[in-house]
Amino acid sequence: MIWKIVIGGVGGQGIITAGIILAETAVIQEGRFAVQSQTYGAAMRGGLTRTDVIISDEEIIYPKVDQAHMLACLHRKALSAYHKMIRPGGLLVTDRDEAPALKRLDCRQYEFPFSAALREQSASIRNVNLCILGAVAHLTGVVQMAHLEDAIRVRYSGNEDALAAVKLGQELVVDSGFRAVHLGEDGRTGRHATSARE
Amino acid sequence: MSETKKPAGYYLRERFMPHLWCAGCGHGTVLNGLVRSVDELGLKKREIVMVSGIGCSARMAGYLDFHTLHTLHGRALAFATGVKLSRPELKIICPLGDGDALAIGGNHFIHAARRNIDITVLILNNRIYGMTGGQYSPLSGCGIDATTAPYSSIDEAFDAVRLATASGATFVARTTTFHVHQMQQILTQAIQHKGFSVVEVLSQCPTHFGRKNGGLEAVDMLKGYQQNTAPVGSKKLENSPDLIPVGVFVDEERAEYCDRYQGVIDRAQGGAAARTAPVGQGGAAAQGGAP
Amino acid sequence: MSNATAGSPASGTTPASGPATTGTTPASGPATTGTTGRTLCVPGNEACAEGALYAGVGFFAGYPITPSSEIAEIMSRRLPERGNRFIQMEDEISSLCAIVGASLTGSKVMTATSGPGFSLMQEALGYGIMAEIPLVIVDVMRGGPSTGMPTQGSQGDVNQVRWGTHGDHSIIALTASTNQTLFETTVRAFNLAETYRTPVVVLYDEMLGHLRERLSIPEPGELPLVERLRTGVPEGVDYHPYLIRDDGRLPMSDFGGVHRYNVTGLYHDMWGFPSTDPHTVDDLAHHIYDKIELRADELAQAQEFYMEDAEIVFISYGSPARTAHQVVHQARMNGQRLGLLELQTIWPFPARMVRDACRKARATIVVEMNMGQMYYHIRNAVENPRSVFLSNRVDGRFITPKDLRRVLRIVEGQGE
Repeated sequence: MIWKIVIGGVGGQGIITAGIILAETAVIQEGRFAVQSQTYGAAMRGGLTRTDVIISDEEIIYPKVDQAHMLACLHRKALSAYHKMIRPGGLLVTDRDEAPALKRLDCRQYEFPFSAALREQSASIRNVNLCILGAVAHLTGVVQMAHLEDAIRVRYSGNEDALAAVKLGQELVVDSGFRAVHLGEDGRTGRHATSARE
Repeated sequence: MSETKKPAGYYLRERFMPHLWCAGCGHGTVLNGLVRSVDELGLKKREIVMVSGIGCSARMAGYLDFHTLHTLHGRALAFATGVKLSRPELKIICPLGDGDALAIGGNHFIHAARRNIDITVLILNNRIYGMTGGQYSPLSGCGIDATTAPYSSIDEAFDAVRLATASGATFVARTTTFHVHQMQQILTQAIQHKGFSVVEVLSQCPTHFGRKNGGLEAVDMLKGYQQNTAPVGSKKLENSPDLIPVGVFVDEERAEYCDRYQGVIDRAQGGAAARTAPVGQGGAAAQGGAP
Repeated sequence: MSNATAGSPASGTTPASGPATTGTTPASGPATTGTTGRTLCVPGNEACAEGALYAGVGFFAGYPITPSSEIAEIMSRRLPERGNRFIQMEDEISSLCAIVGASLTGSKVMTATSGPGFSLMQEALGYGIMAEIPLVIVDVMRGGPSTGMPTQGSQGDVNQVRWGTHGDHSIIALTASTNQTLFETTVRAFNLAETYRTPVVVLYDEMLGHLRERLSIPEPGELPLVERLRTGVPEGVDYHPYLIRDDGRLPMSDFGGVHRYNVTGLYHDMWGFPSTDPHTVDDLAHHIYDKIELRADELAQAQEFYMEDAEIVFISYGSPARTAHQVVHQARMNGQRLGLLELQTIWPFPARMVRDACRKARATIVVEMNMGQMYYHIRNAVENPRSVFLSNRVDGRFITPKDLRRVLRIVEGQGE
């Protein structure tokens, strides 16, 4: 299967880092293939920032995301800029307060209160990128939750806050009662799956 | 110091002779002084790398039986930096002309001085571009006639000693081809000095500078060096401040670049704990931020 | 992008090493890195740096420039860990000069830059060619001319690599489209630099430089490494640094070693002494040109995808080759006979390989991110130049499958 994912937000939210962690999880923890690229430039200065990640069980030829199976968004500016990248019937995961869902989008929309929940726990809002990764992993299974946690452990060398943020994202999905979904496309036939996972 | 003095010919490549310097040129006098200093210091020929640029001065490298690297105009110090940092145990001597040192090579000169890398620079200052036929140089100064200054030069000259000092050279001296004993003494000191050492040698060019500027012959120019100079710190210089000061201006100890780099290696090999500054992760810049 | 998954085995390729005449030794000792045998997920620039470390780079001098700076950053950290040296010079001019100096002391050396810096390096690049110094120069291409687009990719330096420095000469330039091939290409660049005593340019675009993907570092010895050929002439016996052996090679002697000799950018004789003797000059001019140009077939390396029965052939290199590969791959599922020749050796121009690849094709579409810098050479190489088309982008954006399909339709007379 091939997953094409876009993560969007503004500079300083750790968007690029989230993309790198997702790719590292697939490649290093799961032995699969991934490519990650980003808008490269003045991305650290509060402007729009975006990372594209493709994850596959086979080698990835074309490395750019044209139509995304999923857009994960942490800022309303990014949502309005990138929502057109979602493939019809694709998946949109957003922060309830920072990037409220848009009406009339042909996709499944999932809102979670990532930043609000972090604030509630007096946890660092800087980890909102890890929080949304936890949600995405649990919701879609694009990478396995345990592998994501391993990748976080390696990168943050035992930082408990980082790990807690990932788990918080997972819990928000569990609490919401949303069923896990299965997306992606068959690498050989190009056929898209949009069925519920269970 | 070696006990037995070797003849100058021991250090020369006769295959390379005859040399291309004009009759009366001062550069041969500098070569002689350099060879005597090397002999006095007892250095082995294989311990020395001569790195030169382009010009009359640069040919000195080829005439000497050391490892010799005849490079591009102005770039000698950049090549020399690579040789030295890669093999710090080698002695590096760079004979540079006016343009090599302070025109096209000016940027490399000040940065090599700033690093205090252990290289000995000889600036053979003849106030003219000799090899290309007598154009003015950044050491010519105002009022000099040259093939590119037919109405006489309006450019101020660099003071090589002050420039080297300001840039961080830790040994700075000036001498002339008239002061042959002083020259040898200073060259010996400069080669021995650990750090970036600069010796400006006023060296006559009768062919181009002399002929264009009052028909001066080599002897006239040597006499000029005698009459127009005074030792730095001397009473004579105090009484006649217009004279050109000669002697050693700077001789100080400061950590040398290759030694400092050994510290970098020690910190790198000592692991993260030994590092003095945080080190970014590989490819950190890929996470954002263009210059 | 291995051939196994591409469905079509490559033919006419050579292993990632010098020719069989070169002495190869397994990677060992200081040549190994702390990452051998590991799988990483890193950007292309890091894959290039890892390749250099695997090959045994011992000295790096450079000046920061987007989009190549990560290579210098990695070298500044990794080289001193191995007891080797890194220096940030005052500009790109001095960076290339410094690695020439370091190479003469016996180190494998490298610098990395992008277009504006590469322009400044042309002078010393010519010196490296003339004095026959093993050097590896990485040019991560961005949009030009001038400062251009520092953060966007391009392939605008292809002809500069070949003709940027003055005077008749030849050069070896290699490229890649994935992290894994970039790693191998960088190792090969060091091998060819040592084999032929010449500067070798590793040329790739910003897209690959900043594309993070899987990289498996080979075990030591898995890729052959060419070490410097040093003279066996003993002390006290005349060593001729520029006397060409029967096999075309010139054994070197390190500065600081027993042999003292002259190195110059002037035309020179077998001693390295300047010469204007017409025979000496003529011999050297031909030597530095022929040692590379006469080996063009041997040096040519490419990957072929679905080429056996291809009616329309894409020729591409670097990142755009991935787009072409994607289009070919999908077209085959629809029964369209498309093929791809992905060049990995850019210079010397692989004319015979290109001519053979296009012989049976109805049309050839050259895919590159410039105004046709390879296109014109390919037109000159094939039997029917009128069947060669150019599909390009120069706006700093990745060439998309849609771009290529549109050109395909036009070539097929189907309109847009």
